[in-house]
Amino acid sequence: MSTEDTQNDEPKHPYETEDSFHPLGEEWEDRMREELEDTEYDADLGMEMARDAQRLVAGEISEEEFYAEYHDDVAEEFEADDRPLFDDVNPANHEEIEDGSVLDSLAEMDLQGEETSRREMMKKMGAGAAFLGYGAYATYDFQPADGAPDNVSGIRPAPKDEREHRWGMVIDLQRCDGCLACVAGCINENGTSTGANWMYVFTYEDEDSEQENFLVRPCQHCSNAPCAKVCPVRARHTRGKDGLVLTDYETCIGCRYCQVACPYGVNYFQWGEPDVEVSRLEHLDMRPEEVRQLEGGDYDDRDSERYQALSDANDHVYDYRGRWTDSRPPQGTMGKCTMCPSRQDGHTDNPKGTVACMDACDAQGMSAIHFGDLDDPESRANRYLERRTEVEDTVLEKWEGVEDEDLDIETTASPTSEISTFRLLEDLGTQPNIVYLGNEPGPETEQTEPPTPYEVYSGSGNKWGVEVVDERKEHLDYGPSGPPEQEGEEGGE
Amino acid sequence: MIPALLNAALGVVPLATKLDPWEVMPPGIWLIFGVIGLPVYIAFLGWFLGKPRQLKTSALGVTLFLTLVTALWGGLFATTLVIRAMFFG
Amino acid sequence: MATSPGEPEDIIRPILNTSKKYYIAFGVAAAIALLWSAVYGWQLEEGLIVTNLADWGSGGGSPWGLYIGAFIWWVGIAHGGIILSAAVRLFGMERYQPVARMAELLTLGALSMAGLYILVHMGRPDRLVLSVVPAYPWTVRTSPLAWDVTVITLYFVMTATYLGLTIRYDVYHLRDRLPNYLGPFYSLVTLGYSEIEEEVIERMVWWLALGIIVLAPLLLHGGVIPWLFSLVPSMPGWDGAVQGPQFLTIALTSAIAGVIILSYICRWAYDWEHIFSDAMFRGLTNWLGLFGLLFLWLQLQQVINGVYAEPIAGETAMVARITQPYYIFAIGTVIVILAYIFAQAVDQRQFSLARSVVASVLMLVATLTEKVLFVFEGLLYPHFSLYEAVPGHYFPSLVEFSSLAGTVALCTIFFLVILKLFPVVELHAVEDHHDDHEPAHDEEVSS
Ligand code: SF4
Ligand code: SF4
Ligand code: SF4
Repeated sequence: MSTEDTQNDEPKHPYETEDSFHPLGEEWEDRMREELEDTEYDADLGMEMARDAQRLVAGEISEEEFYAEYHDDVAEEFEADDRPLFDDVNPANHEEIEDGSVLDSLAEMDLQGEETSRREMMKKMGAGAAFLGYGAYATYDFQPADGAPDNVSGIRPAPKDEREHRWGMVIDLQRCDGCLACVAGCINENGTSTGANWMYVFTYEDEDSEQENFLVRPCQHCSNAPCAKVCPVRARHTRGKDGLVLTDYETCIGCRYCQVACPYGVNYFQWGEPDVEVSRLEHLDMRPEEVRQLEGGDYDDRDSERYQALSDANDHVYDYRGRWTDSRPPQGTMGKCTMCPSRQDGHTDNPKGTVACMDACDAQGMSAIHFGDLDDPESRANRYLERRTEVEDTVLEKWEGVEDEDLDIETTASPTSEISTFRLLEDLGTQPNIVYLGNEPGPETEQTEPPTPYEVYSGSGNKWGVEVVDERKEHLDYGPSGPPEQEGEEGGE
Repeated sequence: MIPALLNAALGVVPLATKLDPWEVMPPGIWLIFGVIGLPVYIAFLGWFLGKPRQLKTSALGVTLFLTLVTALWGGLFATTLVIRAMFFG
Repeated sequence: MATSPGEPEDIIRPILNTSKKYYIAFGVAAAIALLWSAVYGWQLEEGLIVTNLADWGSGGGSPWGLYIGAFIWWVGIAHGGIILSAAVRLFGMERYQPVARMAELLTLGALSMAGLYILVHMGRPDRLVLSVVPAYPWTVRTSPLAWDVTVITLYFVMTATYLGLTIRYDVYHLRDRLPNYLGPFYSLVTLGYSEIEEEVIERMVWWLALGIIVLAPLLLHGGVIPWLFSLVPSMPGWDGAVQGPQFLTIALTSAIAGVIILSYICRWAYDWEHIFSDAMFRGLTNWLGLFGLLFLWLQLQQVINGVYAEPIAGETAMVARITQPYYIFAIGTVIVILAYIFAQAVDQRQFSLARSVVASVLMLVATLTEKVLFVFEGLLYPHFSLYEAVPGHYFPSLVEFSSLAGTVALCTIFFLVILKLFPVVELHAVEDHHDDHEPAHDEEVSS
């Protein structure tokens, strides 16, 4: 039974070991309150703000309301409230996880003339928040204070201290010119069938600008993935160790529930025979159950028998657990962007920490995609994000003629930064791990013809010689015999 | 004073976001075993505790129930094996 | 009551006699079922590419369609059993006793077809048991599909247990008139029978009926099935707690329609005018009207909520739905049917059996249309509105349509077999009237 030997789901489950969804004991809460009261500022106000901050997270009040409510109070209490309007809290400030972007921005007030430093102030606000259990809000992506939710039976990444990585991407939409190199790169890597564009690039126009915009859309590898929650067989699951959301092609029953539940439309079912036969994929030539039977190691255990076998074969089909989760799915199962797990498990010739779409984008000279461990401040993704927002800050500061020391601005993002970052449909609570730099598509956007058509990469345009199309439906409607001459047996439409 | 007390009190009450129901107990657990199970538990309790009662007949009912579950899933299993042998071999 | 009661002979006639009609029906149903199994074989061979389903999103299609719609529809029809047994057993509405067992059998038949659709819908049906069962301790926590499978299993097993217990009485008392070649089957069914158990069984099936009436409508069709849709964050067209009641009313409507059609066919085939009386059909027609009205009422709730002040995504989905010709067809049909039912309720002369049967058939077409539409229309208008530019479309392929014929045929075969095994009308239903009404009619009782 293939689901029995999974290693990603640590033997313990939160319901078995559950002791603290709320890590703050009563004693601790009291201490926080005391600490707040110790300051010269109004403890009640701090608490109240913190509580409302929670309501803000829960969506009960809007940011505007939050500010309207507290602007006066805060101004009075601190004799100034120069907080900028909070339209741009940079969500990817990793060093600040404990303090969090919101508190960060709350504490961003001008405290000149007060001895209390911004940091100290923040701590106090933070204490108020923590007191009421607002750790959740204090983290950049609304996860509990440890950075990501607990691993609920393979549907979420393990808590921060138990996982090795949290893979994700920073995608700079302002650098994208719609060349679709990433799309082709992914097809070359994974051998996906016609129209199954795991990496997809939208070209769209906003209602009142003629400007062409791009949205680069891989799977978001959500930390709270609806697709993994709904799967009736746990084929779609989150690898606890690194947060990758994968499909076990050996257990998937092809019910397509994950596809229906995913709000981003990133899933591509294998409706018929795959275009690229399994024999053409780079892989360890063994049955999946044999691969699993090899003596395997823990994550990153490079001495194990399985790791050796996989790396000897430069395998691009199995992951470190010996599960068939990489490359295109077999017939009747679900596929989607995998974030190249065989690379992340280090048994391919490509370095760990890279993905094929990023390589292709880099090769094209665009460098819009930056893959990396979002937990690690030194990862390519985070460093890029940092640099990008830093540049913007410097410009802004110059304009305002404010000295750096005065503001004590952290080198990372500040709420005054002008480059906007966003995550797609963040309010659905999926906690996506793709951070976008650039403009978020609004509700009035309209998809337009891409400057580079998908078909350009058809045939000799990719490694497998498969056809590449934008919209898959038409292609599928030809039925199993494929598009040539023989028109679809089934009267589509 | 009063507002301060109130605030303190509110802080102790678990508010919406503080409590992640998924972490405490995912919905399926109480839904299936607590709610959806109820009609079944009730029927069985009725059999064994209701009057008139005859242990033999209740046991017959339980046997029938269990046989049917087994037959249903056993039959399904056989069907899937046939499908596997014929089409996915 | 104007009806003449039936005789025990009447209800075992289908077992003893086999008419030409029976052979024809069996032949036709078997042919259709075989044909469809060949089509299904082709689907297994080639994959689901033979359907017109496709990926939503950049793919521009709908990954769920007729198969899921028909699955819900069959589960809806299955509810006939529980409505009728509730009416008879819990509320003592004796008038419906003759059809109660048939409705319960319909539950088993229809649920089997629903289960079959789960299989047919899948890309890898061969893994259904091997993948689902070992993962169950985990998936039960989070997956609405796992819940669904659980509740359908319970529903099926409880109904089958119920039937298994109630036919003991009939088979025991009619045993000497039943054919001998089925002897082993009857012995098995009546295993350990004793007259004193009758009262106990009566009580046990009462408890079962109570359990099923909570489980099936409220937790299955007003619960886990709508939750399959309303719990996912992706499609605004599926949002909302109204889905539960909405699904349920449609299910009950289909269920009554199914019972009317089924009992009409049996009445016609076995000359059971005196058992399945006009009065009973009139009553069922009124039930059909009541549920149909609730169906429309909940549609109205959704439409108003959708078009008036929904967030933009919901509004788009709703406007798309109400301008869909098939939706207009479905709702229009229900309205016309309701007009007839209202007319016959006010003026009895408007009632005719044929009209009620036609109304029922149309009702089933309308509910099936609505269900399929609900499934794929929802998928065409996601929250992630950028995809709206990718023109999603879906119309079931012949392969998918053929599954409808196939499952109806299989369900027919199921009934044709049952008719040969044990009485589809409870012995109680013909016995109860026996004392106060001597058989005056000269119905030919087959020898
Ligand atoms: S983007 Fe969709 S498929 Fe990817 S993890 Fe999130 S919900 Fe799952
Ligand atoms: S299609 Fe496969 S991965 Fe997706 S929900 Fe169904 S079984 Fe799970
Ligand atoms: S991360 Fe890997 S699987 Fe995902 S789009 Fe890029 S190349 Fe494809």
